[in-house]
Amino acid sequence: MRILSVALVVGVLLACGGGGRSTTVAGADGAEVDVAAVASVARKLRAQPQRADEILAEAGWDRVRFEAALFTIAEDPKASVRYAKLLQQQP
Amino acid sequence: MRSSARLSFFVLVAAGVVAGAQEPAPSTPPAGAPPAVVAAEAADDAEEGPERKGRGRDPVVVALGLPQAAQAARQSGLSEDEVRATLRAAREAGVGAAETTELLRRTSKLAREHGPVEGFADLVKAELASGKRGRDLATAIKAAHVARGRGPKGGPPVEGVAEAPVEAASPASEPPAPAAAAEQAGGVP
Repeated sequence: MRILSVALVVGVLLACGGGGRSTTVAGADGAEVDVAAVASVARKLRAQPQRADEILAEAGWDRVRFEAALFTIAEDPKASVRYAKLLQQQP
Repeated sequence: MRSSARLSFFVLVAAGVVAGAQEPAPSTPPAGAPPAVVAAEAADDAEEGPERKGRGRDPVVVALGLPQAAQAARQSGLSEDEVRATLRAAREAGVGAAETTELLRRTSKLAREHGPVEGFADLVKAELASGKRGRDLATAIKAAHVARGRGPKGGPPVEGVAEAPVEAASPASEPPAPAAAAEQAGGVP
């Protein structure tokens, strides 16, 4: 029973953020920005800049909100580095 | 007891699969990577995209480089607080993410050449409050770095020195061409 309890705790910890590596960052207004989600859209925008508005709309963003998310990421050094690394991955 | 152990094994495997699906980022920098290396990698990433090469100068595409530009500014000697205050000042003044990206890229270059300016965020706030944007803002920031830059290695400003500080990214990581082109074009995509 003890083994089961330990396994459940470990499982929950792993499932909730992959060992503590959260992908969200809080902005000045308290809103949470998902760095991975923004980077995913950014990769698509880089690949097809002529489809910018379509790509943003498909992902549920508009230009104002997307730029605000980029500002929020830029304010956080760790989130900035993480975004840059995620941007390297294929769309 | 044996069935508990078996169940635990399946729980662990399932949790690993869920975590793996959430976190497909094996390319994150090693925990002990020096800041300069991380910044150089980030700058290299940015160079690959159209936001650095000037292709498709849609402002939202240029703005994709904002986090890297902010990180480059930090590596060029600006403090985290200065960079954060500068970003907030730009945002509050209604300056777009694309123009802020160009502003930070130019600032990084100037800070590497002349050293960072004390109270940089206050300077930007004052210039924005006076209505300066684009080329006028870039000119004011350049003048401040030439006159008040602390020098590339903490000493007095030295003319023509392009050597990066010890902790800064390599100058090669941010070629001058895009910034110069942006300045000629007025700085705003």
